[in-house]
Amino acid sequence: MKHTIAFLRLAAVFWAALATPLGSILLWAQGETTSAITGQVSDTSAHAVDRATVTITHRETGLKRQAQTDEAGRFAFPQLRPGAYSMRVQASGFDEQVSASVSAGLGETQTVNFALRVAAVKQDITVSGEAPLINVESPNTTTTLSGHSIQDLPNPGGDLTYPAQFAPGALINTAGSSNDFVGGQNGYGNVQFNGLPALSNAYIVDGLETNDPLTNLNSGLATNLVLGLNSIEEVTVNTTSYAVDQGRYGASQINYITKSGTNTFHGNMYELWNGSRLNAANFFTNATAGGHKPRSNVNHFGGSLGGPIVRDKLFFFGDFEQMRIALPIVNTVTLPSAAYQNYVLQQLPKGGIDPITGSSYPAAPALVPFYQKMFSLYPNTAGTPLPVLGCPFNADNSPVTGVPSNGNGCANRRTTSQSSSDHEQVVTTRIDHNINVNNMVWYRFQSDTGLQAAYTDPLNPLFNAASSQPLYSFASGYTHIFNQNLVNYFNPAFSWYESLFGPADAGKTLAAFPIVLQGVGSNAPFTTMGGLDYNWVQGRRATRFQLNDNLALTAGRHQFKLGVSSRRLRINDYDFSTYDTPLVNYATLAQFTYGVASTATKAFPVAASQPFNYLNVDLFAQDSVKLSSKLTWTLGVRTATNTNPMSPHGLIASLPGSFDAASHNPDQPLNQAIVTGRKVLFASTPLVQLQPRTAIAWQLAPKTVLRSGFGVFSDLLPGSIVDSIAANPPYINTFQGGLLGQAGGLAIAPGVPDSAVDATVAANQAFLNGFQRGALSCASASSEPKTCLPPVALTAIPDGQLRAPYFLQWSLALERQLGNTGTLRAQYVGTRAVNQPYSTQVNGYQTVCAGCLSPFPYGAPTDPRFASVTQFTTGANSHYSGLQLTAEKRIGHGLQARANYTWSHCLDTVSNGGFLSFSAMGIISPLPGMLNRQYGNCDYDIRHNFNASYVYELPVHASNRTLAKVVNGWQLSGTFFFHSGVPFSVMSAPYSANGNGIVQGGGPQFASVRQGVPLYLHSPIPGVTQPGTIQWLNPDAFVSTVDSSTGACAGGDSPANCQFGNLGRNSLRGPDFVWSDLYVTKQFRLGERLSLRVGGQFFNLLNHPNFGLPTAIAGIPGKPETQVGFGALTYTTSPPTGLLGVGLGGDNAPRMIAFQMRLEF
Amino acid sequence: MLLRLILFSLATAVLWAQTENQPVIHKTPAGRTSASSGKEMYRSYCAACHGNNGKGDGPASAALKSSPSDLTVLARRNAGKFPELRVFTAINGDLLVTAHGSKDMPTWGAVFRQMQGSDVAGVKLRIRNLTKYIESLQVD
Repeated sequence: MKHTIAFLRLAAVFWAALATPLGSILLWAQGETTSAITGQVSDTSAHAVDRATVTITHRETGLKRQAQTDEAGRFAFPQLRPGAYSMRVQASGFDEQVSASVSAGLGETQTVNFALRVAAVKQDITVSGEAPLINVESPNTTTTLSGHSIQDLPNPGGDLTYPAQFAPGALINTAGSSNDFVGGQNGYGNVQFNGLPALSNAYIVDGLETNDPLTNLNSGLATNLVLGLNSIEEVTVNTTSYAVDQGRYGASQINYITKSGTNTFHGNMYELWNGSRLNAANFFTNATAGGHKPRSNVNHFGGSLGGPIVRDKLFFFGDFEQMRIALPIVNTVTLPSAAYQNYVLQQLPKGGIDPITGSSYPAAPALVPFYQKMFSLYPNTAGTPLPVLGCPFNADNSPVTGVPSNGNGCANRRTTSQSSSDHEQVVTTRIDHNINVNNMVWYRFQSDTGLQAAYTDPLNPLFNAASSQPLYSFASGYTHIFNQNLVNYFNPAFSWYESLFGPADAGKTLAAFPIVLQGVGSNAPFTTMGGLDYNWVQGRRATRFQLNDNLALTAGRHQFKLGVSSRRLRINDYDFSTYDTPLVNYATLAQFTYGVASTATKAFPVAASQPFNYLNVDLFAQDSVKLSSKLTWTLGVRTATNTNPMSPHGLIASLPGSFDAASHNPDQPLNQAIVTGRKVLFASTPLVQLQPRTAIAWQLAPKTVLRSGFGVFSDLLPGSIVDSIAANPPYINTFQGGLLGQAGGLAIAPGVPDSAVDATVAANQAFLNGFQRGALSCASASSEPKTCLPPVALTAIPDGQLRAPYFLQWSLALERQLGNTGTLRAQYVGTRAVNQPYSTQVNGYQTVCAGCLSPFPYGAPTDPRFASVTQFTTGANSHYSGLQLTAEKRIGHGLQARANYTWSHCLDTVSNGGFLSFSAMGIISPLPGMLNRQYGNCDYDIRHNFNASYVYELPVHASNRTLAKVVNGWQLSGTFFFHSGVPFSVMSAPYSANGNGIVQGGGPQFASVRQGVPLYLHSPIPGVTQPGTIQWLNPDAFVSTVDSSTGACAGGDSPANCQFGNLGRNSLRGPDFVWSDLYVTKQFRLGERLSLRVGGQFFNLLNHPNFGLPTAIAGIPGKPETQVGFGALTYTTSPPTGLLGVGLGGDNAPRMIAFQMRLEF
Repeated sequence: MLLRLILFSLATAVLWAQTENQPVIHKTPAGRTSASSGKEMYRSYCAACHGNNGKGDGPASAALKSSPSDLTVLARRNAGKFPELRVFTAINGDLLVTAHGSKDMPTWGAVFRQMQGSDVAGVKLRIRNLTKYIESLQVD
């Protein structure tokens, strides 16, 4: 019986324990329960109060128990642990009553009664004052960031595109290297969404599309950053833009609204500074003996002021911003010693034998003045003597014996350091005029000027190249409200910018040195003289006119939108000047000594620049109808007319259609094969592209919305399409003279006897004459050897009407509001890209063996009248599925935060729109006829992608004035990025044995993978892993088709051995990316409306090294000498924008700290 | 001294009673309304403080140290002409309308911008229709 009672007590306590979260602790306490508290609850009139909640709390342990009164108002707490308790009684309609200390003694039953007072009447008023957390009608996926919240976050470089990184599905581009600009050679586009190209994001400021029309990228100017953040009031990022007034670009619309003046004066001033002393060293600098951190200095400052001109009617706002970046450019140069210079001047009139090749070079006394002038352009040539094959003497003037000689008296090596300074300033002014409540207009002007040190020459500042990159824009908006249901918004805009790269005074530079002289190979060691002059002048001038109009009508349950969005672009393209200044190569020291050109390449454009015009007209109509109070259906259609790019001067030449469709009869004269005088780029383009879109927003519950939609979006070809097609002969011809060129000539300088450069001039004239009169190609058996036309390179257009690229998008999202400050969203997004552009080299061939290196034919090209032929076409595609989870907390308790996670998979044949690669190792040009072989992971197929941002105002509010100055006003904010590895491919080494290989062709030459061998190996491999690098891939898992130690196919040249490998495109993964920035600020209140914020931004807070993609030319397993360096990580990467600008030579990857002061009023 | 104590107690009691009856204001995200209906927007966003009739006697007004404006006399106070642009800019958030010594009135321009996405004209239409509704509340 005793055991039964004990068991029942135990059971009772057990169930009581389960009924409370503190059950486990109560379970432990039950053995000591030997007291009780009982009592009664009544009102002040002694009437019993039933259903009152009585809570007791054990004061020592904090354990709580709760009971409800019965009809007689009674309650009881049996089996209590002895001790002191507090009691609280709550009942509806009565004031709460508390008894602070009730003692329940061992073995006693304590009785406590309560008399409750009727509660005073209270009112709860709900006041709306904040934007809705979830939009129950919008079909789009929208993220909005106010200018204030943007300013609160750390932002590397203060870049305007950075806020877009925090939208759902956003993938930050870290696929380039840290000091190459995204928009440069390694990775294009700062942010990418939903498996669609990073070139399909619209950056729209006050309705003005600011994308660079040549690339469709975000338009960075002198610093390659997009400046002007301080003038921004708000940023809205729309993805899956089913609303047709958005969505000219398929992936995202990023809309910026600039600040306006108000009836009160307000503004700010700020300064941000970073010096290299505040920066950590790069991981590889630390890993390399003797490496030292480069110096740098950044000042980023500005201010804004807004206020009234006429109260209530006319307001102004102005913003000024400047960024100054100083970066020393450090190079190692190899210079001809003074003794060698004298030797050359003596040898030129004599001629001589090349000890490397055995060739005999003639006397060239006419070159002496050219060399004297060239030598005068070298700086001090002292340095460490460097042995060079073919050098006949040593630094101590002693002769060198042996053939070939290898003296160290000809070349000296040393390090040089030049100062490089970049700056950019942006001035924004805005006028807002409220004419009356039915008519409002605003005007915005912006100028963005600066100077970019585009190239800093290590030999002579004469060869430096710069780019000022001015941009001037104007936008205006006129709102006219007809009545309460009808409103029209007219939004014209204009912009002009110039982005030209070249020497400060091209005439002076070329007068001093008219060519670029470049050594090729290890036997031609001298640093290039002439810099990059063969590239200049390069760039474009672009003028853009925009007319946008949007009419909105509300009629009952319907909201109609009608509109037009049109753009006229005029690009004056300067990209045709490449090789206008000749590039002369020499391959041995003797060729330099005797003034012999290995090759001399010169182009002959009909004009240094050509204008091209485009017109885009988009029309749209949409109805959003409220089918019920909780269901909104949006249905719209957008039509896009993108005209055929037009050359007003009719300077387009091309084959009539595709290369495959052309006659390859060598007896057909070139002037019959190539159509000249064309005014448009393609045979024809679609009149319109229809883009129907529909979506629903269904409010399932008061705080829950389901969104779903489907839409078609057009994709735009970048203006750079004209770069290649408009460069076709006869309007731009390129010829090569010199030892290896077809045009002949030997001497490196123009204007001297037997000049290789002059030979190209003659070849061009002969070509133009022959082309005009219908001369046959030299490939024709009937041609005259002296007058026949050499093979010419060109770019071919697709057959017939251009199949315009477009996207399909569909999505299903569930969004729920949590409390008054939080939201959660889960969204599935699917996309498909169709007719994406790509190019292939279709006239290539190989000289290895019949049947080798498929698909390239053996021995001769398909059409011997042509050199390399680039076939532009559309037809690539992609598929993407992604699950996106978003959590957002609006400011509450000092904290606001946002986090996005995306789990996705993307497959395609060509990524990022086919023109500019997203990743450092992206493949955008497949093997000819083998597009499907490319189908694999997209360059931006990132399986796990997470980003987050937060702002936290520390909850310290000291009332003591002195203390408050120190401890109040602190704020922490930060960002965090994580994504899994970027995909890449492993390739075979190129064939090079006996001068054979692939000629005028290209494409990915995949390696093979060995089954059963681990693909990744992260420990150093003796003899393979180079010092200071990190092994990532297992060299023995991959087999190159070509043995790099012989240059021939592994196992011997045969059709069986000489085929590209079985490895799929993008089947491997680089390292994960982890990055976090922190911004700490302290605000000082200097007056009622004046405050000073002082703080520091910490970029890459943890100094975590993020590595770029590994070197990926495979070797031969078992032959370590072919695997040296393979699969190793050799450089770091970082976000696409940084304190040191983008692509200016600075390293933004290590931890950097910037101090900031900001005065706000 | 006793008198002072009694007076102090009485004053405390009165203040306590006032506090007891003072409404509790909960700020919430704005609900969805039609941009075409100034009345609907007024009722949803303004009436809590300014009252249904615009007299500044909304249920929340008692919780504010400075009473909300009486919107019905704006024209009378402006020489008989309704100051529509001033009201327009005030709603947009361009005025520092203070209560409790701080900007208690929401910046509706910013709230509407988030409601309307990137639709600039839609924001203006909302503010205009709200202004017109307030104009309709004017007394002679």
